[in-house]
Amino acid sequence: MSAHLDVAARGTRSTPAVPLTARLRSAGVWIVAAVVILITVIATLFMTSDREANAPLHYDSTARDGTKAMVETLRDHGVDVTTTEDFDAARKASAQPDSTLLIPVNAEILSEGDRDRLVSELASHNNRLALIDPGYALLSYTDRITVDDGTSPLAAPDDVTSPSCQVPAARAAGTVTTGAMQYAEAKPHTPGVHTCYPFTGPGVQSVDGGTVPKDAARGQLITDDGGDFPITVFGNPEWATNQGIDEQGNAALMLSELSRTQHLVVYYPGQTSDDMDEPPSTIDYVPSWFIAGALWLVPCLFILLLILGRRFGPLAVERLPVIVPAVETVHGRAALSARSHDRAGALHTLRTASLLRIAKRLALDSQAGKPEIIARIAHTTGRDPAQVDWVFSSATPTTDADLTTIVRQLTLIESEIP
Amino acid sequence: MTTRLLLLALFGLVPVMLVPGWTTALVVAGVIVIAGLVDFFLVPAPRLVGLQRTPGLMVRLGDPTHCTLSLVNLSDRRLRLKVRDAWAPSAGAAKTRSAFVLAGEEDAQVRTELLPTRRGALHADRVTIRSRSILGLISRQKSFDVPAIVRVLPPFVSRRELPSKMAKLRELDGRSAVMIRGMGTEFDSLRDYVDGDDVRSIDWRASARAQDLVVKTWRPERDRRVVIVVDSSRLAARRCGDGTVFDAALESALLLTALAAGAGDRVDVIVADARVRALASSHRSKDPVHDLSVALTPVHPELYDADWEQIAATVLSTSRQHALVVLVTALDEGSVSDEILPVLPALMARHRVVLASVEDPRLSKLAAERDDADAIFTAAAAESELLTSKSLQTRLRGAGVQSVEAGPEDLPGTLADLYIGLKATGKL
Repeated sequence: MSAHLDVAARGTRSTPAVPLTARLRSAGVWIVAAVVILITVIATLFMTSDREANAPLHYDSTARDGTKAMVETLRDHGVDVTTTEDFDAARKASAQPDSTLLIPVNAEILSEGDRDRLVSELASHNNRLALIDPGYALLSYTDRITVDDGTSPLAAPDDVTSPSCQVPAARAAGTVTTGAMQYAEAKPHTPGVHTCYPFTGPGVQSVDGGTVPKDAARGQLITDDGGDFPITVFGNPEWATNQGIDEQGNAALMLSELSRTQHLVVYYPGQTSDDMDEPPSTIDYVPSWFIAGALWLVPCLFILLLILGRRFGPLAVERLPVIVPAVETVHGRAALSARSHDRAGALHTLRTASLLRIAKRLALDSQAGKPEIIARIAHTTGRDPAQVDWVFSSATPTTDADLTTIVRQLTLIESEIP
Repeated sequence: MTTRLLLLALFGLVPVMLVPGWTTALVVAGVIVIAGLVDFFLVPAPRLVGLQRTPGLMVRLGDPTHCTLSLVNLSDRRLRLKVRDAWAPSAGAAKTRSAFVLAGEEDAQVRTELLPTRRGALHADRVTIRSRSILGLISRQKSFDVPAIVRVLPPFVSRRELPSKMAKLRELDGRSAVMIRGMGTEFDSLRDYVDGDDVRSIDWRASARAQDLVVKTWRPERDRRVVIVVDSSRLAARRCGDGTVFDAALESALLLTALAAGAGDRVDVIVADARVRALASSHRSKDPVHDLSVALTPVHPELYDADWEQIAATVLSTSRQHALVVLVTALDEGSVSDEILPVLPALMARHRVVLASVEDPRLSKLAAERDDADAIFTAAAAESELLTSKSLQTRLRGAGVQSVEAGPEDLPGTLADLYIGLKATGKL
């Protein structure tokens, strides 16, 4: 065929005049990505820097069981409060004169060496140690006070307890809420030990079997000024918590007890300690030049990804013509009749088509009726007319197997026609 | 970012591993970043290249062609370029990427070989230019629209049938009168009598003048009109064999045009669905088949219904004199009985109408598969389709319209035979 140069279709570079809105739209993905990354980074920084401690009785915790309210109130009223989780800082702070060291929780996790150092520091400056519900950990700090283990398990103390002692702070505070524990003198009538807020109410008398002598004084608040260093034990942590401090005389009791000295050190012992060194991991044995090289490969890999990921222009667009899969309708119709078990209809169609083809092949008139064609088929193939009639006319399939048999016969007979 | 930047970064491993530490890493990284930044500003912008595409020859489907991309360095700087001459997959571009170094004001040509796999007007995609500096650490790239169209004509596979059909047609020429004499034949010439010629065709007056026996010969009438209507509606978009029904219809139209134009008839082709998509006429055309191919090239079937009233009006306005109107469409019950039959009387009042349609070979294949119950239901559904088209053909015959149905490969030949038959019997 003749071929002509298609000069009309020749084209030169058209200046891509992309409007600003389109450019913004295509840059939109990057802008959104940048904003998302920025927000994530800011949020992460914000959350890490302003991480709030929410351990129980923690001095920074604003949760119900935190003690931030008490600490801040003390600060507002002129007490010089030092808060720390670090042992060395706590030891250093409690070495200054006229201080109180408050250990709200975890008094038992300090190692023996740490405890001895702390106690000697307190004793040398005659500073006070305050503990909140220390339990049996108390015994490692002093042998003059102990846990009262003689309280009957059936005891039902009143909800509030009166001071019942001569300690001025307690007398001024009046009634406080009742806790679950009571502390007691190790020996009866120890000089310097004052017990306040003993349990009152039904069944609070001490029972036999305890290690505490029966006539030792008991109470939820014990102050001991006669030992190596003064010590105060608060038996109920609720007095100090953000939730419980505003009830009864709790606030008055805690604040006045802890503000007896000019300085207050709140030491919150953490789980990590200097004594618990981690075992050296494998990475410590790897030479540093190897680590540096491996880390340097990360940006190299990033560059490689950028090189490989850069497409050489956009994908080429193919404008495809419309194509309709026509045979689909046949399959759809077949599935429909198969699902409705329309065997008679399917067989009728196949018979009609066969008869029309056979009639044409036998050169029969198009007006020829079914019986005529069937008779000619029987004559031509030499088959039993009754059988041919059964196949082409009378048989009714009731199962798929019947249908298959009849259609096979039909196809066979049709193939026998010359 | 190029491979050279990666190599530079890998080279940075040496100082980093020799003197491990953050300071070394930062210094080396800083050097690389600064080198990259400097290089970025050294790279000439890709838009300094002038681009032009010159499409190659128009070809039949299956033949190779090409497109030439011309690059001109519009600046006086040296440009180091990688070029991607993108084409749609069906254009069959073998190699689209090439690299150039262009001195100032220099130009270059890229010849992209194309082997199209689809008929139609194939649009070129964008040209992407990637430019780098002498350092080659960073490359800048940009894509440009450089419009170009390569026209791929329909394959016209059936032209191999053309010689035999033309021979058949030529047999009609020069025959002595009685064999074919009748309506639609015209006097051709006088020649000497040879044994076997019918004595009734002897022109006695001429014989007296020539002192020898002379017979009159006849040939089929020339300058008849043939109007081929190719339906490009949704029914033509059906998949059939390798292509669509429309491809087979185009083949038929091309063969019939070649044949009828060769026999001296005037052929008009109308491609239409809801609107007229293409018109072509052999009138005053030196190469009707090529002109028709060009007219048909950009047309693809669309998902519209055909507007037969408009098509009938177009046919009537195309030819006022008696013509053979071939409607190449589908034997679809809905469209034939609701749309074609109502407009037939208007057409048949003046013209002879023939309806040609493409039979899907898969239907008869499905109808013959009868292995199990599912296959039988499918066979029944296929048979019912075939029966429907047969009954439609009967109805059309009743209305006086001859119809032809054949598979995609056979339809052109069948239609040509029909035309030759009509020509021989002078029914055009």
